[in-house]
Amino acid sequence: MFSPSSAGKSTMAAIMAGLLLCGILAPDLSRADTVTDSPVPGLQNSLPTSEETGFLPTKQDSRLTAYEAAISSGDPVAANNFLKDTDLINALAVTDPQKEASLKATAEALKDLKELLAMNWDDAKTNSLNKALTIRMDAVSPLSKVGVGPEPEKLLSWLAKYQPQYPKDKTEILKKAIRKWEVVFGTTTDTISVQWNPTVNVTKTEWRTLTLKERNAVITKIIDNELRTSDPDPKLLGYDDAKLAEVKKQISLAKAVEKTMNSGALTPEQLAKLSGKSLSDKVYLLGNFFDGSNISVSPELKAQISAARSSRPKEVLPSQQREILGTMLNTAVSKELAGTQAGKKVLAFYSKEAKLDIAVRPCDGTYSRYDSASGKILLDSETIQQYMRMKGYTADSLMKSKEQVAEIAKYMAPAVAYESAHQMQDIWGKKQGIYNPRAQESEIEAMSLEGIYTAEKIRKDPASKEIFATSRDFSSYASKNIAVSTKYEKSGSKAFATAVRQLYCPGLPSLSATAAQTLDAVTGELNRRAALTDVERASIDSTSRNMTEAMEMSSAELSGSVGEIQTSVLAKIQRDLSSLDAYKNRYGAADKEGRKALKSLETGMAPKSGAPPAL
Amino acid sequence: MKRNILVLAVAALAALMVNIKAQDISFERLSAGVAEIRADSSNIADPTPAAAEIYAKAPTAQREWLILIFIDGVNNLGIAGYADKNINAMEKVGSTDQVAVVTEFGILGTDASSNNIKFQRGSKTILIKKDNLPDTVTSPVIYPSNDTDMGSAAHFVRFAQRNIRQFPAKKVAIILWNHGGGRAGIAWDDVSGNHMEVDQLGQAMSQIQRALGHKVDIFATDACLMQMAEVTYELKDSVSVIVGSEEVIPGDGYPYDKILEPLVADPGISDEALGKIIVDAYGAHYRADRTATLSALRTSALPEFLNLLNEWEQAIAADAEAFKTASAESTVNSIYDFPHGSKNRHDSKDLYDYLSNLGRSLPDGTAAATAGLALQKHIANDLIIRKTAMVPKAHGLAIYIPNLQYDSANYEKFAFVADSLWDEFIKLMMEERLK
Repeated sequence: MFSPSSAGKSTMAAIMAGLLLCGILAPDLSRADTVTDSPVPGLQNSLPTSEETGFLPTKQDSRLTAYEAAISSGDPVAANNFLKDTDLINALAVTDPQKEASLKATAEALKDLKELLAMNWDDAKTNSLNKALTIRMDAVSPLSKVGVGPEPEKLLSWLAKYQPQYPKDKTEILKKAIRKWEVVFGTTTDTISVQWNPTVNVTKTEWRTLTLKERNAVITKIIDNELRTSDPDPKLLGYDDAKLAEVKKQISLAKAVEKTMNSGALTPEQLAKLSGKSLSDKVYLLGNFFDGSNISVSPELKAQISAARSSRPKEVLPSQQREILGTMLNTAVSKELAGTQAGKKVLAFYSKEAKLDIAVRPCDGTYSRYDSASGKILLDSETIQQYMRMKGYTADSLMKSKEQVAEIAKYMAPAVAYESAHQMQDIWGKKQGIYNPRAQESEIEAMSLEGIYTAEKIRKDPASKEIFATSRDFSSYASKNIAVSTKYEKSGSKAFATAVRQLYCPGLPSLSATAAQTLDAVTGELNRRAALTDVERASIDSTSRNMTEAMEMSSAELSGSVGEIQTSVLAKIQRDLSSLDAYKNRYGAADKEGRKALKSLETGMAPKSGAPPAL
Repeated sequence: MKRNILVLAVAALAALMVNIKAQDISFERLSAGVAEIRADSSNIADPTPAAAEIYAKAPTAQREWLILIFIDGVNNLGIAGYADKNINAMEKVGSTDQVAVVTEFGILGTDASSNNIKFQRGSKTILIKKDNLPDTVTSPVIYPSNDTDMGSAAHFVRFAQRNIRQFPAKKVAIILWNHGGGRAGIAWDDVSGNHMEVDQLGQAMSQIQRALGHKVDIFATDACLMQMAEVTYELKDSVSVIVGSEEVIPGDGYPYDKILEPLVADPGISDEALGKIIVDAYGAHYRADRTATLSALRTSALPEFLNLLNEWEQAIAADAEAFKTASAESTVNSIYDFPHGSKNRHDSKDLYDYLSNLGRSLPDGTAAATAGLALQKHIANDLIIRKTAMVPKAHGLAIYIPNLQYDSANYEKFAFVADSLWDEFIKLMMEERLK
């Protein structure tokens, strides 16, 4: 679409005209329907096409003008109509590909915003809505360019103008999600002081100019300061779900520790050891006291403390043992996956497209990760160690026990199913040779596979059921797995997809949003470079990132650093993202497969075809 | 129809001619100087990039040194004005044809009159030019970016790689400026909420080393607590000389003018020579500070350091009395720790000091005592190129010795842990604590 040697619409048109004159390029008569825009009946096939002339037919041109005006003012209906106007889009792709890409980017962003706001948002999901809006309404974004941001209140104006029927209660949720001053700080103050070491002021006037990311940073700082006090403000904590959950967990843990210390079950020596210690140290020491002892506190209390504490030295898996465990899990997890529909899909993938290569490592707070560079599925050693603590296993006992390894395999198999989907997506993108950013749709596919696997496994395998049932109250990993599988089973794929978007990854953009953001940034940069000389472009390209480097970048990274990516690479990414059909087809096929599997799970019948979808 | 096509084609060709002529007009680059970046400035840099950037002309013959400083001031350090203070210090000296000094910065600031917080949107890369304005940053922006995440290792890599290509030099020094947390990482960005874990930093330096084609000559952290065995070991294959502090670093950070002046005067100096200059300048600047530390170490000595450390651990583990003394709370609590001075014991401790304290309790000539002395000798003579003298008990390299809990979630990520027996040693020590 972008030719580094072109300099805009008139040049391209002229080239096309010249090629026509030379007979090199024949007019595309298959596009005869484009000339139905002719205002003169009977002359439908006699007017030249846009390819022939290099210009849009008059009616298309006037439609384009109308679309441009509407989309640039933020009209989501016009945006949606434009995206459906394939005739115009195809014609524009020839006459002015940069404009086509730019309009598409903005139109996708507006359409995506409308769809986002149409979801069912309630008070419990306010912070999720905040995350979703934060990534869409940043300082440099397609929405901000058409006046929907970056100042968050502009969203309310946009809503009033283009969706005046938007429900009032949802509008109130929205005001909270955009952190409106009056909602966060009340109506009686126009200035707050924030201890940022040094102290800074934030005024109501200034607040209005801040992006959502900046507002969130201020609120986070206030929350962190509050958490250092003995009595943090609960209202402010409500603006951060993760911190609120952590505070609740710590409060519950403190109560459990107090209950244990007051139970009379501990010796004076043990109580003395606990005295003056931090909560974390107390929990850790209690776990040690419980080991091999008859301390009579409830099993639930013991399990809560065991799950919450850090691992004692003998419970830590050292690097050599982690390596061995990873190898053992390749076999053990494969065994678990077999006999389930989702598992069959995963195993078929690993028999044809890749090798299942599990490694056990600390994963920085996540349960698992797929590492594209090495092709490994990383399982979090801390999650495994937590399970070991709950069961009373040590590193040594695990290495010596096939049964314990088999349990770990059952426990972590859902994570392998989940990450295998990411690996499938990665390999698909590489095979297609396209830029393949991570988006919510990636997570929907991965979590669906995880959900259907877990649902089927729990039904079929009493041991797996037992493992998750006894862990769910103390392990966020187990709890999440149960929640995902239940949600998928009971809601069906469409509602599940919405749940993923709203609850599990609101801070990840949708495919439309990520395409819009990246396409907008890339197109803007290509337009800028089009005005440079060849020498200037060559100078930029000589120091810029190449295809391999760019393909590894997330959409946020790429959008923020288009100035240091080679021109030809930008053009390729523009082409990739200008049509989302390839991505949608891929995710659609996966969704269809999942629905089939779910249906057969419900009916108790295996689907007719056991073959995995074509990748 | 043919006539219509002909007319339109001629019109199009005419347009083509106009366009070609338009392209002949040389493109006028905007040279956007950086607005004053003071902690009290209301001129926080324009959030949107300039329509054009200054790119250096095609790379010239190789200069001697490229000094890259990545300033993450998106936190209280930026608000307090330390970033602009340091950049102004760099501008006292500036770049020359032999020494290019390039800085990328992202900062938080405040408005002078109201103390209202100001957010800089996007980061800016500047080529440091000498000026006589001690309170105004005047160096030109050579690359404005919409990438605002200064806690991102990927962003840091792009900064380094871009400028390595743009300013080829025989030797490269990279300084990472921000809050440091030792084994917890570096470069906290209060807006993105991101920071760099040590293993991410290791991977980042590895990528930069690959782009450079040889080890980065110097990697320095103008950040607290980073000079730890675990951190430096992570970088050993991608960096030759590592400069860092075991202790917290005062807000003023490195005295950049005092570092650049001798370098510019004698650009042909080696990596170790520059490492010594940095340490000496820091030591002179903070000579009255009884807690300030800085050291430079050569990574080529790290493999032997690891061997000797492992030998020491094996000797200690084989000697029940020695192990008992080594793991006793009283022994461990007596080690000089970092940050020093608070009532809580911290788990980053000076290794040499530990060996000294322990050595006093071990009988002479025992395997444990001999191994300890060998390790100390290697640290002092081979590993540490230079260290400051304000803290006699700080010998240039800290190490993780927990007080009670072993932080497996963090510690088990380190290459140092995979290659050494240190984790086994401290886990044995922690088992003793639980008895």
